[in-house]
Amino acid sequence: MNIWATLGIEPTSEVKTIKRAYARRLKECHPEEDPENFQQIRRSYESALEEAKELAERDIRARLSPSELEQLRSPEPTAAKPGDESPLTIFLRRCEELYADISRRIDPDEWQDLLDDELFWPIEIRERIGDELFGFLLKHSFLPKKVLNLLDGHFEWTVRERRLYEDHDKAEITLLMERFSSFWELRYDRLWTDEPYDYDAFLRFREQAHYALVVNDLDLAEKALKGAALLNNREPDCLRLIALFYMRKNQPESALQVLDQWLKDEPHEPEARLMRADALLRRENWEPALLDYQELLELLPGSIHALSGIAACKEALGRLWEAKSVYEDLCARYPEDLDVQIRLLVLNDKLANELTESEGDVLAGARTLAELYLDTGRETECVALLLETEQERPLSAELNFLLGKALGKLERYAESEERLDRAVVQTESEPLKQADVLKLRGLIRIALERYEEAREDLKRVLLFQPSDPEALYRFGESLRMEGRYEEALQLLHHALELSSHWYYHSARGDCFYSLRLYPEALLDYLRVIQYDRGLTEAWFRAGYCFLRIGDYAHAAEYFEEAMGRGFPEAILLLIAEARFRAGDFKQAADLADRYNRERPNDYYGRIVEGDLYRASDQAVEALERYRSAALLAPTEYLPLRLVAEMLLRLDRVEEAELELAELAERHPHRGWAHLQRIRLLIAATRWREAEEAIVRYTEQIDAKDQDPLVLFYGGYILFRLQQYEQAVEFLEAACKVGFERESEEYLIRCLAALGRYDQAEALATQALVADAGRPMLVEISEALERYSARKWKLLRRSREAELPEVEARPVLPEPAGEPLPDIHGF
Amino acid sequence: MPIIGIDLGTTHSLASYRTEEGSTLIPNALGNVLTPSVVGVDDNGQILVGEIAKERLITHPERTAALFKRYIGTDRRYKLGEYEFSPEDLSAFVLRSLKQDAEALLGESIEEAVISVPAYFNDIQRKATKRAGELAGLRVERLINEPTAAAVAYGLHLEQEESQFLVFDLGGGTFDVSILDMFEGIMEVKSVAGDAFLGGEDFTDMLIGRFLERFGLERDSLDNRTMAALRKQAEQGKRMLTMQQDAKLTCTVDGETHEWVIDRGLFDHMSKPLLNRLRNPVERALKDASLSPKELNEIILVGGATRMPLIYSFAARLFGRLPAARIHPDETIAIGAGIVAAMKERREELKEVVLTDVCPYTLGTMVTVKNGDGGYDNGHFFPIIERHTVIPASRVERFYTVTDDQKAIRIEIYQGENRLTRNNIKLGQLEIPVPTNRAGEEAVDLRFTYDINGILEVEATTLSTNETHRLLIREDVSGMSLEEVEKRFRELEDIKIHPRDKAENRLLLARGDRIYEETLGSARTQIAGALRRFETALGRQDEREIRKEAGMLKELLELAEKQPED
Repeated sequence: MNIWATLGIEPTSEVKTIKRAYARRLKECHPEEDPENFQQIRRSYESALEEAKELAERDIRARLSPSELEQLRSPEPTAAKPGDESPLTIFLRRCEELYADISRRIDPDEWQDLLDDELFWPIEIRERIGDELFGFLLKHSFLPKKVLNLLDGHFEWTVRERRLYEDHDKAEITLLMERFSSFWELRYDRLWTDEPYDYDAFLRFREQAHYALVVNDLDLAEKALKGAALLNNREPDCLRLIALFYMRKNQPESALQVLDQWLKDEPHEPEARLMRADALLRRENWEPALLDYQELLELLPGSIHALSGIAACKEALGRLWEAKSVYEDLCARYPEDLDVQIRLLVLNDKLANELTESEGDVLAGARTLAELYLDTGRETECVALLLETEQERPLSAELNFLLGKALGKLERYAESEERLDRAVVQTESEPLKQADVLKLRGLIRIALERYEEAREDLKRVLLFQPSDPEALYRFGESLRMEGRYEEALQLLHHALELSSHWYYHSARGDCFYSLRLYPEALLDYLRVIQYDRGLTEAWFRAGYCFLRIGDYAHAAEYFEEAMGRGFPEAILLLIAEARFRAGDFKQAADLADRYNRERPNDYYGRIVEGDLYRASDQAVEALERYRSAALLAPTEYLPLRLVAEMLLRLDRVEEAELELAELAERHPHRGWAHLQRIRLLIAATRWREAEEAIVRYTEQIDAKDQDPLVLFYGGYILFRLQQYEQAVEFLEAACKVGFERESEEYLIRCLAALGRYDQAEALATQALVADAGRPMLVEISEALERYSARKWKLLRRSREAELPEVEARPVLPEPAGEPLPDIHGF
Repeated sequence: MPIIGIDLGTTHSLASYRTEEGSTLIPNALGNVLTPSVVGVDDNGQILVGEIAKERLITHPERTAALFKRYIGTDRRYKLGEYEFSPEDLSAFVLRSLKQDAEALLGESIEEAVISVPAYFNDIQRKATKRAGELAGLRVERLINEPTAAAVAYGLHLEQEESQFLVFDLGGGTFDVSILDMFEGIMEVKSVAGDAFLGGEDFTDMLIGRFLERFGLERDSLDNRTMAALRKQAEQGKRMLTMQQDAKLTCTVDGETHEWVIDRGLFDHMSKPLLNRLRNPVERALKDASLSPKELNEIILVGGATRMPLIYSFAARLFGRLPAARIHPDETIAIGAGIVAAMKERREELKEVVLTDVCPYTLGTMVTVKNGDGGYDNGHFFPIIERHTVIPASRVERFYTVTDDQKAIRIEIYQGENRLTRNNIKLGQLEIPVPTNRAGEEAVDLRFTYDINGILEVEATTLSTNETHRLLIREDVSGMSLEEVEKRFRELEDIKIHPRDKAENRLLLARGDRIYEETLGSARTQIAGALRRFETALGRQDEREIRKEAGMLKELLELAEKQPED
């Protein structure tokens, strides 16, 4: 494209001329109406401006003398007089001054004042200032985050990061950018001491120690901390790192000394308080630790660290009931914290033992003890206790409920239900309590597989508490158990909207899975795994979902995880499938082989192994596997079928025929073997046997299950047996069910043989209209035409039409049979 | 049928049209040309728009919505009484009211409008604005960048034929800078820059923040009504300071009346951080236009907030000269939009004027690049249409597969200036299947077409199969007919509002998202990081970690929210 031609002018260095030409062209090609041409004009315009600039420069150069040119090349003479500093120099000097003074360096206001100085405002120099300051920071970056963010907000380095890489070292920038966006920050507020020291050296040591502790390099940390402490041994962040170091080294005594020092300087620093409490706890100094934790709780009300520390100390001090109530408080506040729950369980267990052993009136405390037993998984003892209590007096609603719960956990569902029936009656006047009982009875009834009644209970709960997620979930489960997945899904969705529990996800995942909605199911199973990686079934099912949605690498990974967690080895076959589909045949074959060696009597493993070979076109190996499967399960259809399939594929015709005959014998109602055998017989021109086989096929297979192909086979055989009348019948029927292409030739031949030339010729013409690309038909048609032309000429029919020879072994269509998956799944 | 121009502003909206005699602003039923962009619902469930709604901001804050332009194109929903509205719905009410005013004045029905949008609106926001027009029964074939509209209004008034000038537009909620070159009847936008979250409202917010700080009040502890009253006081104070030396803010909280007198000096001092934020866009625009301030013929102030003497003197110091403010700053954009509407009609007197605009931000895709260790790094931004390319523009780039037997090439479209895509705005994505082959043997041609309205179309063609895929930036962007608009209104009446389940964490996430949108620079990156970690913690369901991350996020957010008032 010639840019000047597009603009309609001669090349010029005159910008004005170019602009005028551009304006004129633009009015002809309005950007809104003719975007294509507009873009071309625009490109030409931009290039023309570039070229004009170059032309102008060349012009100047041509006109200048060498000495003038030299002058042009040398940088502009700087008219700087001493004392008349440029704003840029002043700015940098002031930065250096600020940075040098540690108390000013850390003060954002000082930096703000610098930025606000109008001396640095003019736009021309501001960008330079920003670039220079960035360069300065690359070397001087020990600044509080607040200052860094202030500067960045002003000069927008992080926003324009892309540009910075052009001018500076990449590694240095990355380090600085890290400082802008890191989440941790070391303190700068207590660096200053009466006696000045090398602050930057200290900061470097301190940061080095911090990083060393992050990667747990204790030797390096020790070296760095020593260096830092030599310069300033009172700086709180440094003290914190030292204490942390001693704790890592398991020297709580040394840590305590450091922390005492820190707390003397900063008694209200929660971090220091917590660290000291933890150190004391580690040394089993329960009383002082308790005091520190209580102090911490004052500083940070509700702190989980303080509360769990208090609980641990109280427990160690034997104040078990107090500890129990703190743990219960913690459990309520942080319901997902498993650690606290386990500690509460252990404590409950301890308390239950204590109560059981105590000589006092056990029955009076029956409820507390029963609850403790239940909490700690001692259901048998719970049941015994409550039954003993009942000897003395009838059980209250609560106790019947507890007993029902315990019995349910022991899987004594009938007894459990009976107890809950009583509790339901006893709580008739207290709907809130009754709801709990009904919810449990619903669950027990699901276990008893009486789903309708379970739903009755849960309906009553939901009537009273329509957004009880647990009731919704159980309702959904009762539906799922009966295979009513869609309805179950509705309820489980609702339950999950209200509350997220892994078993809700698991149940919903199962519904999706049963409905073959694999991607949806997968999401739920992943949530389950996220909750607890020990849930093996979820690994397996997630793997299966991955397999079905085509993510084979993940499928294999998840199956392997499930197997590692004790899933039965049948999963090896699925892993093999996943590996195979991911393109790793070797590993797949190894896995299948391993399975077969571990389960030598399972024919299915051989089939899968064979499938792997079959799908990768190694028919001989596949045949071998299928043969051994057939040996293991001689009465099964599938192995024999696969053996025959492979023989056919390998073109071992005689063996195949024997195999097919056997298959047809053993499984007379499966049509495929019959038809394949007929095909082989036809190919071998054993017409009589083929005819018999056809008769057997039509006798054995229900008319509605018959493959229409048999009509064509039959017609062809009859044609070859020269039973033309019958052959016509068969072939005409075959044409009607979609085998025109195959049948037409033979039908025409039959008609001709029967002397029905007009019909034959008409049919041939019709067939060629449909598809002229069949040489044999063309020949036949021409022969027929010749014959009819002669007929009219000679007006007599002395001779028959001479049709071309029949092809001896035409390629015949194969029967479809039942679909074979490339790899057999479960 | 005339086409009208509409300035759909954050605080006010206006409409104008142009005849041979010149431009006319369309007055509303109250006779004012400014219609506040405020929508309310009265006790009978009827919609109120404009001044009346604005008054009710204080009395019925929970039934009134304002400043919704800032959230156009987001999932944010406004609950007004029994209704729930999207920002588009609310904008549509304002547009409809302007349309009715125009019909009343011109005595014929109006079916088409040109609407102005901030230059920094992305694709999603632009499409949402178009949809708002459609919801109001207006055909919107043309969107115009606000600074461009302002420049057009200004440029047309210019005596000399050739000029390069800068438009400094500080509106209620957004700040835009654009540089134009006028020659031979061509108005060429050379560059635009801006800050989508900086405007006159931020000065009001700053005053509110300082007021609360001064009297030791917590923002959260004030009810909606008190908060709205305080906002009104701050707003009035700000206006007062444009005319006189000091202003008084009064507000009664829990029966106690607080009073604060501020003078211009104090106001100027407190505004410094906001003023600082005005500088970067100006610098960027100049740099992108390769111009120095000396080469500008004129500086033009536009937008209501430029009335503040503070802004005027700031601009004067920045450019070293007195800016021109010849057109009423509130009205410039609407007049410009009206002129563009007339240009669209190809009216005789404007036939010889052609306007070209630029793409305000870089558009590109995510690519994987080889790193030093011979591996690959994901998440790099590859620009396809660089910012300040003249539009309409169309560019093609070719991308290759990076692994053997790669089945598809994933295309993610981003907008922004950062090297890494995670710091830019994602507009959409698309997966292009390719035949399996050796790495680098398969390729996709990606064509970006950016039309005159600033709307992007992406087309990907697999080289070996010649198959073409088209990317829909957002699936829900579909035009709605008038009947559907009516249907939507009826639907709104039927919607029962479910109380959202009380989820502290989700609330915190939503708040984080909002503040992330409002912040810029490093704070934004930090918030993004904290949000991501918080989400991860939520995903893991580790309560201890959740608490920790929530604490950190909260702290960051509070910091980010406070920043403009520092």
